[in-house]
Amino acid sequence: MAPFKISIEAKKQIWDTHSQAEGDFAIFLSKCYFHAIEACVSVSKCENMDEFEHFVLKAVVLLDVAGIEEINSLLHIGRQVIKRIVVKLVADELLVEVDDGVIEITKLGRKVVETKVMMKLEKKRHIFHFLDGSNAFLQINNNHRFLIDLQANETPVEWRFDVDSLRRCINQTDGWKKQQQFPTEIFDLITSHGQDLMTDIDVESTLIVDKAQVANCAILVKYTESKPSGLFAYPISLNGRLLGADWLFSLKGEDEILSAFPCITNVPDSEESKVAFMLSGRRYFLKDFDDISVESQKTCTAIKVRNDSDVNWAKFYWQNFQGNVFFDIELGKTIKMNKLMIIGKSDKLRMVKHLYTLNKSCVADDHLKDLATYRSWLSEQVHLADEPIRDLTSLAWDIDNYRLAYDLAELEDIEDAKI
Amino acid sequence: MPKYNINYGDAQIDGGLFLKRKSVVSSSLEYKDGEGDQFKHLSTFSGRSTIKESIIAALKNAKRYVFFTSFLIQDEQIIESLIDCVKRLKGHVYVLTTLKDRDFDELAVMKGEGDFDQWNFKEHMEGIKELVRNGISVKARKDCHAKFVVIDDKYAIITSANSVPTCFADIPQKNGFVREANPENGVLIEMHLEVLRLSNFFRYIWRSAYNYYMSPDSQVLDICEFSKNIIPIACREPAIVPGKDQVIWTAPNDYRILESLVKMIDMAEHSVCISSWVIKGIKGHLLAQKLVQATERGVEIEILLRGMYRSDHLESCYFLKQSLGKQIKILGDFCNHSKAALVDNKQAMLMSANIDSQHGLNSSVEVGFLSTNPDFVESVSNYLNRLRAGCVLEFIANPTQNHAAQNHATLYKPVIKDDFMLNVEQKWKGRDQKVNKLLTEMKSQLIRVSSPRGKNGQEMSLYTNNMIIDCVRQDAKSLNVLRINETPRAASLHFRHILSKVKIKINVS
Repeated sequence: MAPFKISIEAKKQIWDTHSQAEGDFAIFLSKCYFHAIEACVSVSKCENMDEFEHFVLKAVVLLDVAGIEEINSLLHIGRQVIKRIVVKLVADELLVEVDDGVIEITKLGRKVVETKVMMKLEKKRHIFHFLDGSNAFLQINNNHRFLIDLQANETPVEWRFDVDSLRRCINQTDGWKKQQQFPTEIFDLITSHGQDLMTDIDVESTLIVDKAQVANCAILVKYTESKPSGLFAYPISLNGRLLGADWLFSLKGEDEILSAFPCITNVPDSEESKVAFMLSGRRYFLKDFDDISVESQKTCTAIKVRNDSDVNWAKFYWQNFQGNVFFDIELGKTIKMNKLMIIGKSDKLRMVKHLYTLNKSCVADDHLKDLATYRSWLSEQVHLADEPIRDLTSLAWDIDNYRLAYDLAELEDIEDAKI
Repeated sequence: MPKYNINYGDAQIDGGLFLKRKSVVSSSLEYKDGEGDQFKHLSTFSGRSTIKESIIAALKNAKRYVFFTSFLIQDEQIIESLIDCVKRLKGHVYVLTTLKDRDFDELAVMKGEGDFDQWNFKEHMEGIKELVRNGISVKARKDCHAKFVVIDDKYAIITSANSVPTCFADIPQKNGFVREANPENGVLIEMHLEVLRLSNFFRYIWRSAYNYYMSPDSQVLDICEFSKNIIPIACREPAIVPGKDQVIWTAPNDYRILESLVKMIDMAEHSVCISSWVIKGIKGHLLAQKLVQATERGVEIEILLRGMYRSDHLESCYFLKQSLGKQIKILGDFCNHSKAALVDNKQAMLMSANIDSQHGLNSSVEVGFLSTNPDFVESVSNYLNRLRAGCVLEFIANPTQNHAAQNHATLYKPVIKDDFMLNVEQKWKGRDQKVNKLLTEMKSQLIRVSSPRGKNGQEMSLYTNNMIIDCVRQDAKSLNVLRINETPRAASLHFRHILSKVKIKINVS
């Protein structure tokens, strides 16, 4: 990851797009460098296997190294038949003749015995993306148009890729491959120096090419029980605009996420957090931060407010309940954005929460149609205290929600005068 | 040789019109609004509007909520006061007005008159948007012509005045002419039960008897529809105590203003004085019958109106004049918009309703205040005296054409004052029949002359009640007729002057 600058409007757009994500989450803004590794690999093609051929293969596995006679003494299906099957299996690279009349099973053959699926290998060049630094494999979604090619002098100083990273991926289990979207059909890496070098492969076709690419990303990290459980990176433009709704890459599992992006565990200290909050608080015309304390956690930032007499705090609370407020802080080369949790026991906070609950359920419900319905909704459904309506109206007005102010005010003002 | 020679001017016309009175009391009569224990009479005359002053003061003093109703809201100071009020109260200002141009057209009655009053729906909507933008909730009822304000359920203002500048102040015009403020009337009441009656009336409309609304929002300025129908108003109200102060109204199937007027006239022993902007559709109406019955008892009737030249207005005046003879006097001025009734100096009423069978008495939403309180009756009487003093016009039935021309109030020099020739040279279908009809109309109707128009002011029109004769001036003494159109619209068209006594030669070739 590299230093990344983005305007507040762009941050807001990104936040608004993703802030409705369920559960705990944090958003990281970062410049991501990729090794686009183009390499020659063998790719398996599968088809159902003949039962006899499968028997023969299994027999060879049992016998370890065998000739036709040994196999026949085990299977009793006739030497001619076994010979014919062995010739085919050798041709399919599932068996190999190691000595005159002596055969053994190949790596591919063992795999076929396990899966009972006939695999044929094809050789082709394939591009794999790895994140620079952690060398984590990332399956780039759909198209690569959001990745920008870099010249040699534009890459980070330590630009290095370890081919073993690719090899490790190829050797991973199918379960891992499926989870990380690594292509399961890749069977092996073919290099000029590898163990699986085929005699008829020329050196040029087995060259491994490392192309440097970069993309600005908004990385949404979802947490389950405070642990990162899913990561989705969305491409953004140089000026911070989100480029489409589809993610560029994703990761699943705590280990994979932390190994690819170890920086997401960084948490700023209280003083750094307070400074960052003061900057964002000014956007809401908040001032006088002496009476607040700020504590950053993994997925949110907790603000303890002791004096909220200024009307702008009500607006700020309201916006925060609406999910419109985010806390943003530069953490090394990334920017972290997360939710704010306001801690306090003030009347204002309590009443804004009341308004928020009211407003949220207003859309589907008709509990503001008259005073009786409203009071019954309060006590029976949301168990909220009965705040003075006039005060709630004024507060709704203060937070610029005129409609809600009138919906509430009408409960009393438009109720018939008693005669 | 001309085909026809007409001596125009001596014939009596069918119908009548407002003409200059012979003797008029000075309009500078001093006037002061009356007041009593729980009311204050309000007015607008040229130079001062206590109606506007009271509305602004009431808005400033509001502590809990404001119910504001006006057919039109164009006055900047009223708009500013409403906005100041909503900011101070943090909401709680409810405005009931007009939101659809078709409702405006329906109730504003005639575009021409609306122009004179500077009623402008576009300007009105700009004001409404400003209110909504600043967080005021606005609703509209298709048929609401009422104008009233209720503050905190403590006091209310009922008035004839829309919140439009011409209802409150003299307005200088671009041509240097000062358009005097409409005479308007109103009352501020503090009778607790009557204020509650009015506030619950408003509340009922606000809750469930409106048609359109604009939610208070600084961004969204949409007019939403609540109902297409005219909904009856069945509000909770105190019991009606006869003979006492009472807020009254017109609403669907609820004709309290008309019923009160009728009762008042039935009780009249000496005099009935009614003020209205317009009088319409009175022929065959219950109110006319009651007026006739009153005159049969020897009651003198006086009606103070705006002296407009519009056919429906003039027809009703003529009908009353014919029906009531010398026992009715119909006076007029140029700007009256007040609405009041006074009987024997014993009962008085003021209201937003005109004497209009279509809108006001039998339909629309209107509000009024009726009282036998001597102080209130005296206040209304004083107001009507002041209004009467400004009435420089009187409705005259069947004047001669020349008398009408000489006594019609106009500020302009006549375009045609000498004998002239009308050349009908062009031929078109039915030409001769139209010329014959024109000849007939000239014998019993006025000929009105439009302002010159077109290049060099050569074009003009002559109007009878049913015909428009478009002409172009050939020279000082002759007009070439371009076309003659028959249309009932002609009766109400604006004109520059009435043709006085002249000889007209008509040459048809």
